[in-house]
Amino acid sequence: MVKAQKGALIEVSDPTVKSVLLELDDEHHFIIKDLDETHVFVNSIAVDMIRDKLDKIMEDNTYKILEE
Amino acid sequence: MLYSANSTINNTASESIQGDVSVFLEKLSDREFQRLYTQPATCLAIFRLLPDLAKQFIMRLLYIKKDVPLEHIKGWCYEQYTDKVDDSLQRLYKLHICTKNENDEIRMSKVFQENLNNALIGSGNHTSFGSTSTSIDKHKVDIDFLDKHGTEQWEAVLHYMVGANIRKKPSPAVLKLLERSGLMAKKDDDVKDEFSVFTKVDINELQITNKGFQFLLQDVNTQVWAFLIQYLNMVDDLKMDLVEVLNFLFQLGSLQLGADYSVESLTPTQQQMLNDLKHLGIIYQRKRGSKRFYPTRLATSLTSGSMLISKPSTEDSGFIILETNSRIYAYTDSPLQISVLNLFVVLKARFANMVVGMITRDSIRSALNHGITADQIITYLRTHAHPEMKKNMPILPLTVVDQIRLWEMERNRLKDEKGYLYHEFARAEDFQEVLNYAKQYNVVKWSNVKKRMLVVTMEGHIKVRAYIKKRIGSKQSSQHRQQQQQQMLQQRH
Amino acid sequence: MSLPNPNAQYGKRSREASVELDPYLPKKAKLELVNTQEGYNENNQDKNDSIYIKENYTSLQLKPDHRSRPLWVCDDGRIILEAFSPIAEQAQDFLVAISEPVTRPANIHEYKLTPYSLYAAVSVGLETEDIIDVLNRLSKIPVSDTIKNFIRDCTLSYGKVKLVLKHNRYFVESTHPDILQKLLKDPVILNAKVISVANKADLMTEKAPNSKDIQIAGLNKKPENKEQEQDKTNEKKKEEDDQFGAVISLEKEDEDEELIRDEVVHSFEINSECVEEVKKRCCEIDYPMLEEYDFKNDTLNTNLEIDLKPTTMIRPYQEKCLSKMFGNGRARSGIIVLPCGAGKTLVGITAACTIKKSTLVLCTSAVSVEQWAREFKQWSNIKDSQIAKFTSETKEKFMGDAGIVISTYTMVTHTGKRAYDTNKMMEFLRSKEWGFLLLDEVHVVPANVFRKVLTTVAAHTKMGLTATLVREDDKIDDLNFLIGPKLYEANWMDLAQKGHIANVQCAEVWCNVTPEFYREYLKRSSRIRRLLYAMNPIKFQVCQYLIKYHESRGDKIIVFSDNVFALKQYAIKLNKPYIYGPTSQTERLRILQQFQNNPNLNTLFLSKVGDTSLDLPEATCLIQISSHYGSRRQEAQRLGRILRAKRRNDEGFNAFFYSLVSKDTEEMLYSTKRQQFLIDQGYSFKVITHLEGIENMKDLVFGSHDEQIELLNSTLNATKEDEEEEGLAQSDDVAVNNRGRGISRYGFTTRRETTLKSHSGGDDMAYIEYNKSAAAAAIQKKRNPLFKKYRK
Repeated sequence: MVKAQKGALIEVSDPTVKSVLLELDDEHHFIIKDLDETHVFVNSIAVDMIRDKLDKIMEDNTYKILEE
Repeated sequence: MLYSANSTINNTASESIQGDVSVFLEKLSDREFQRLYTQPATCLAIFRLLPDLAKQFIMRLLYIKKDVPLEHIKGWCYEQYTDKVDDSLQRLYKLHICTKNENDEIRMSKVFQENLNNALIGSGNHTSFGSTSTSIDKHKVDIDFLDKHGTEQWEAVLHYMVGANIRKKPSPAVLKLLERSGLMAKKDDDVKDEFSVFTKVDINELQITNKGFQFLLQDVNTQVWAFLIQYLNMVDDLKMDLVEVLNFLFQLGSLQLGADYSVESLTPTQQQMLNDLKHLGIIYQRKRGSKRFYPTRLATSLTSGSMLISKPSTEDSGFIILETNSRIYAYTDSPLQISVLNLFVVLKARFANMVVGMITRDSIRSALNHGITADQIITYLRTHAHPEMKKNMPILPLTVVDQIRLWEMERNRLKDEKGYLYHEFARAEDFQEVLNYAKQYNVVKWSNVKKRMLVVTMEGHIKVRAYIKKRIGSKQSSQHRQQQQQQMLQQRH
Repeated sequence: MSLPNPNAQYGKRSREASVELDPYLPKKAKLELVNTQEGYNENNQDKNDSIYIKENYTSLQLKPDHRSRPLWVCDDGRIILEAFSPIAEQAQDFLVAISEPVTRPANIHEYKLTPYSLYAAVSVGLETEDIIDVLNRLSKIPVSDTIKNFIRDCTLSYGKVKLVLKHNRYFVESTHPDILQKLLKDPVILNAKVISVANKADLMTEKAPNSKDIQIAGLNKKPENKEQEQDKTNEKKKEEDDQFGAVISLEKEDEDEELIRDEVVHSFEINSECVEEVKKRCCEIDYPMLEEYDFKNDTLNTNLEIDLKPTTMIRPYQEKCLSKMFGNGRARSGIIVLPCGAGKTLVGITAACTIKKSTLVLCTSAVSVEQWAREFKQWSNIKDSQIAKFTSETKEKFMGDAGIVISTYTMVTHTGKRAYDTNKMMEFLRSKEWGFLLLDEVHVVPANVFRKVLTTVAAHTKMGLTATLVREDDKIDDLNFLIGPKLYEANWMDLAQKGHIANVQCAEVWCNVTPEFYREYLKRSSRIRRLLYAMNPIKFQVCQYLIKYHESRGDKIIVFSDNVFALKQYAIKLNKPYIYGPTSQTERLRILQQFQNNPNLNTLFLSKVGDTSLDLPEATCLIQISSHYGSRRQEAQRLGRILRAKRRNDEGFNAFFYSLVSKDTEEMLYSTKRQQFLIDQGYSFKVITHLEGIENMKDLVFGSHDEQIELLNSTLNATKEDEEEEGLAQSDDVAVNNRGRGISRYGFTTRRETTLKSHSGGDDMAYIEYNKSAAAAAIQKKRNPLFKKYRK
């Protein structure tokens, strides 16, 4: 039987983001289906968390010119 | 090239103005056009807004009384440019300047022909180009004053947008304009809260929207026209005559800076406009009932197609220096310009004639969050670059420009969209059918034939599900029934 | 964020004594300007706008002719200069003399007033009120009282008193007799005063010294035809000078006469045993003494017969350094700041040739010692017997009474037991009166080592050479006071423009990390992370690509890697020679020779040894695949390797500097930080996100998924030892003994507070871990017979 599942389609621009996704999924299990290299179908409530994590990684890896 | 270059989108402001105005005009009816074209100034203004090839055609057809065969016109151009010819003609049709009859013959509108001619050779009995006042103004004002007035009024509006709060509120008409054009909105509708830190927010106060932020970075000409077009859209509500409004706007574009014009030759509608235009800084009228008015530079540059600067055109108005170390030094004391810079720059120090700041990842991201694009920021910086910067080629330091774009790209690393995943199709043909169906309605966001999976939009889901139920469901149920029957048969035996 | 403001009126504060109370530091060294704009304007919010800008100077009225004035001065001591102003060059000269350059890109420069920079200003003879006056005249807005008071505070008592050694006697000298009288009221100083029977008067008075008394080595040749060219440039300069003069309404002073305000100086003699006491005392009462050495009139110390070779040419900026140092006929102690590769060594050597007394040169490594020795012989006529090297390998002595010893900081400050011959040498160094102490790479040296040197060695003139006054460790610029004021600082971009250093294109290449590597990265701890982002297969490919590209352009390429494991892997995979700690001396020499001379060997891989321990041949392209955290100085130094490229004067020549970083890893953060210093000098780093055609490159390494997984596995299995760079006899290298501080070499800090400075790599000046036992064993094994000289 054909199944239809509600969720969110995530499209990533590069494999690194996918790695972050997979890593997060190990812990939180929100991936419904890993579609291909650049697409993943997930539980919609996880989207914000994924974005936050990605933002945090980029933020952590950015040098901020300190104010004194 | 060792590395791939980043693409730049370059959109000249005048092209976009032309586009916007044309889009508006093309909605008018033929009757309205014919009325419009009774005014030479309007004909001239519209003529100026057309692309060059169209202008050529008009000039050639201007003195021809007969209908001209289409082939003839096409013959004026080299064959490889047929597309351009078609485009130009389309424009002329849409503006009702020319019409094509069943025999593929082109005719120019007589009214247009006549009045454009009047405009060009300065003949005809009309006040289309404004009638200068006959009496001397006791309170005569000079160009400096007009510039000052124009800038002040105009900037006050923009300044209000940026969140300068309640102190200097624009007139109700302007407020309405701001709201109608989607540049500002009441608090509840899609509004950003950061500025509430600086202003006491009244629930009924308008707050700037993303579109508003983008607007702030555009050049003045584009901005003025955006307002005017919005104004035109509101004209029916205001119970004003659209054609008269249009004619007056086009007339303004042909007036002379520094001269004062008589109010008497204007229609009541047009006289009413004066007040609204005054609040935008487009014209100056000493009092509401004054018999004369002065156009400001904002008015006289409306249809010239050139970039407006509020200072004499000899002086370069660029004032921003952007350095390779991401620091910005902006020679300005205009609170408005500083507010605009604050949208994407961390401002650190301010002198009487200069502001010091820095472009950081956070400051750019903040702007991006407000809906401003990297291109807009870069164009703004380039347009307002200080003369010292303009001595270089490229004008802006490449590394900083690239970095801004890279920060924008960061935001696109992950895109998400809610939808439905369909999978576990028993047969490949079933899948293909559904896929084709869904594609017809343009609701497929992702699919893979081999895996027999597809994702459709939330809206598309209903249709697709229904389709599946109908097509495959029935097949399956009929299959199922067959199976059941077979089983029963077997059981019997 | 308001700071405790003990002196609200002036907006100054004293930094907490993070530096132990140093008797040689003047009190005001710790003064710092803070922005007090909150209190300055009654209403910080401009009436018309709702934007809050912390530093709001809008109430300072612009002067009517502000357009012709090139700068603004902020209350926190920052000075902003329009570098495109017609009088920018003169303004820059002035600003460099009184303040520290912070950032100098193309159009707008920023400088900062600090106690040390003002100290430097007065020490070259600028008077307090003159400084304020000129600053005011150049400024578009009136200089605030805060700044004026700060300048006064920092300068009134500085640079007014000199400790002069002449005729083998010590004199406290000043052009202001009242100050001397004041000093004499202090019991300590009074006690030190020598009472001369012959001269009853308290103070001696005599003619002020001037530069006409001496000849700076190498500066006496000005061929006639050159003068004609000079005329044209001189005319233009004169015009600008006139303009400048008009703006500041002062006669532009003739450089030679800068000190002759008074024709006379006053002095009193002090007992030579009391010199140190008097120095400390003067600091305590805030009259730090400038030290000057009247070497011409030193009859006690034997002269050193040394001169520059006639063929040695000195460049204009080098000349400037020297004229600052010898401006009044005596040798001044101080610091000279020149970009890497701009010829600091020659400046030091020329100074030595001018002073002509025994000279001690201290370097950061044994190889630097070799380099200095070689350069001395190259540029001067020093005899072999007069130059001696003192390192863990070599203990030489020079013949006769006067000579040059070149050693390392470590050798000279090492505590603990030493071999007999080492001890003898140390005695010799300690007992000698050195006319000239040359401190190379002064800002690399850890603070405590630095201090120790200055208390161990007695020298009459000290010259510090460095590429930057910025220190990466916690010790702030106070230490600069210990050597002397900054005599000169060059502008990188300026030197590049004039062809003295190469033009460099800098780029940061972003290498994507393969999914498998990245997943591991996310999971792992710091040490493995470092390995992973260094060993990223894509980075290998990028490295390969760049090497291929530049080799085909005829470049000589050096690839740096701090991470030793990565270094070996890369070099072996890409089939290139490499040098690291354990590489023997002979092997090193062989490879370097090949690199220099063999047209088929164009790429060389180096570990940290390349930073200090190698006499690097010229390269035109530098690729960095792994670096030491955020060390800005290391970045600048590495860049310096290609700045001296000989082809730099060829039309359109560019050297290239690539920093490869793995995307989305902490490497990106460090990379950005490292670049800050260079960016402040005017460089910019282009970000390259994609290399055209790299996927299709022939023989692309790690092209297959399997290979990449294999690489990942071997990386994860790399042990700590694999990463260690076994120290081979490099004990001379400036090494901080990290064990005492509980920080491992790569900065796993066990301290509770983590400052950004610790991330900068500043904690760890050690390039090679001083593995005592291993190194000692290695020394026994690998002592090169060539370097065995005097062994008793």
